[in-house]
Amino acid sequence: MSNIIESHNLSKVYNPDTIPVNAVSGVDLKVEEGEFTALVGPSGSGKTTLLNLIGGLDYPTGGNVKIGGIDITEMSENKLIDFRLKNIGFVFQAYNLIPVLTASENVEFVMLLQKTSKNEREKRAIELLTEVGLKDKLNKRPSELSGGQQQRVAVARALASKPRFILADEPTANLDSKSTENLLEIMAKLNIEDKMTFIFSTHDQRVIDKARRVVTLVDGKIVSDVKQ
Amino acid sequence: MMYLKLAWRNMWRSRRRTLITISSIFFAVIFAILMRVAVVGLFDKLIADTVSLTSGYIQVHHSGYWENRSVDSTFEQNPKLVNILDHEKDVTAWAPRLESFGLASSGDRTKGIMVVGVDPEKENSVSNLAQKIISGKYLAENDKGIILAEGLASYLKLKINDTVVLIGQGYQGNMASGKYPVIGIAKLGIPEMNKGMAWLSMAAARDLLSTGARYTSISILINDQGKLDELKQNLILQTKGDGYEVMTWKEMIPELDQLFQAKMAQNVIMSGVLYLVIAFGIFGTILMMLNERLHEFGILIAIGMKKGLLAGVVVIELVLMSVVGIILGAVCIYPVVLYYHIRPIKLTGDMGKSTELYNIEPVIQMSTNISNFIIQGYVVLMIAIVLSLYAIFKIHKIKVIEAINS
Ligand SMILES: Nc1ncnc2c1ncn2[C@@H]1O[C@H](COP(=O)(O)OP(=O)(O)OP(=O)(O)O)[C@@H](O)[C@H]1O
Ligand SMILES: [Mg+2]
Repeated sequence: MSNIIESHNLSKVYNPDTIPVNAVSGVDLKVEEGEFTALVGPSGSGKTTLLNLIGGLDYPTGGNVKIGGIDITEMSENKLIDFRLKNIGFVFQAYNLIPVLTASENVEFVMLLQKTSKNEREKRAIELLTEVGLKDKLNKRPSELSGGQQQRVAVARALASKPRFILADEPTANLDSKSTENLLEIMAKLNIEDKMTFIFSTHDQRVIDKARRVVTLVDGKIVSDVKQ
Repeated sequence: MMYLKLAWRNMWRSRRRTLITISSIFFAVIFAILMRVAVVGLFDKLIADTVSLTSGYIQVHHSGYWENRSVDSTFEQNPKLVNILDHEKDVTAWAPRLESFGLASSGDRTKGIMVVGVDPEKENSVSNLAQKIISGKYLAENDKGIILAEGLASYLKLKINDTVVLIGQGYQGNMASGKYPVIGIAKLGIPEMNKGMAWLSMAAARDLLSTGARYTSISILINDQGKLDELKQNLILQTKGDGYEVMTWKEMIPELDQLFQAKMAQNVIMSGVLYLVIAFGIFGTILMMLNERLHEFGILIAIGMKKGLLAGVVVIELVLMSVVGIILGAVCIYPVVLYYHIRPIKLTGDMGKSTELYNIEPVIQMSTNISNFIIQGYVVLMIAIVLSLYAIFKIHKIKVIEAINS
């Protein structure tokens, strides 16, 4: 199996000039295609920072990140935006969606950015929303959906761009246990059936239990890396 | 299409704010248009009334005539000139005149006046003089009678069929004097002109001034004011070497143009204040919008929307908002303007008196010229676009992670 993500000696120091915070320090992480990996660790251990660096949302202060062999830490901001559009799906903790667009329009939106044709967009949006169990909510706005449903739309949107992998920073943090379970099931199904790679951070033990690999961070360093 | 849809829906997100912004634009546009069409209308009429009876919008005369306006500086009838004027498409109408300053007297009263010899039919096509007759009748070809402006007639205490005596200087030092029966009285809107003008048939005037078949000037009416300078140049070109001079009303009566420009400048300042207010309104909207949507902008940039595109959608939204305000304002005020164009407002009391001081007829006939609407709309749109630059700037400075965390 090939590595789709490879970080080498990856570091991020916040406030280097005042009180430096080593949010991520010297992380070497390799992620293979098809993984279902949880990033865990105490609050402030650097999970979010690491995901942001891998996802090309932030620049490291040291080391590098390669996605499919391409070093993304050297890219200009605009190039990086384009790279994200073509390669990475994102699910954030909450309020992922554009409030004035319906569920299917939200899903279509990334495809619009990719200049996919209208027919294709509509077809795929319906497919994806059906896949995440929201076939009957196509025309609902985010405000008419529950938190769990919104996160499922966000997953559908992340999938819509046909990314190499999906990064999710605490996707279940704002959900009740039933919605959490539901979202995880959907993600697991997509991982198994569609071979979609997921990397997610979490504090929730039940979520951790579902992961097949658990990477634990403490003070910005990987302290354990277990396949289960 | 989807971007437009996004902009449109975003626009209605904070319905109240958008409505406030739109209505501020709406009212500003309405007031600005009203102020403008009133001034433009007032001057359109003032200029039309003044120049049609005096200089014409464009005048052809003997080179140097306008400086001292002497009867000696006349020119002969010329078929070539007539031919040029008849074939120039921008010339709406033209009329030859033989003008002279002189004294009009009756009984113990005397007044300095301008007496104009005219070709009755052509004169009417330029100045509508026949429509201004309030008693008696209009001139006929070779008429022996005189038409007096109403103010002049009442100053000289003359009625129809009374006789007025004209005295002045004729061609090449000849003494000019004659007695004329009053056949008509014309009421002119402009107070000063109403007190000092009289018309004779061309034949009678030539007789009075001993000029023979000569004119002092040809006055030209044009409908499209935008063509003023173009037509002037055109005529200069075509009459080159014939000893004529072609002037526009702005050159002949610069005070009138200056007064108009001054009023327009005042107007621009007043609308400027109005627009400053709405500029602040729009700017406030932009600030709040950027602030409220920062998280969303962060998400959009994260999932792959280029900042330029995002800024573009925001600009579309602001432009849409302005365009809605502008169009609503223009559409709502148009019938009002049209109404006051058809039924001009007559100023009374102090307002009326103050316009007379400026020698303006106390009537505001609003201008329905679409350009007044377009200019105001354009200005508001420009304000919105310039202010959007700030939004574009801010969007380009967004840091994705900070935005998502906000
Ligand atoms: N923008 C920032 N400026 C300064 N310090 C920061 C910034 N963002 C994060 N940090 C610090 O970096 C460290 C790592 O933070 P990070 O958010 O990555 O942790 P985390 O594991 O995601 O925590 P949590 O579980 O609470 O989400 C923390 O000490 C945090 O205070
Ligand atoms: Mg975090």
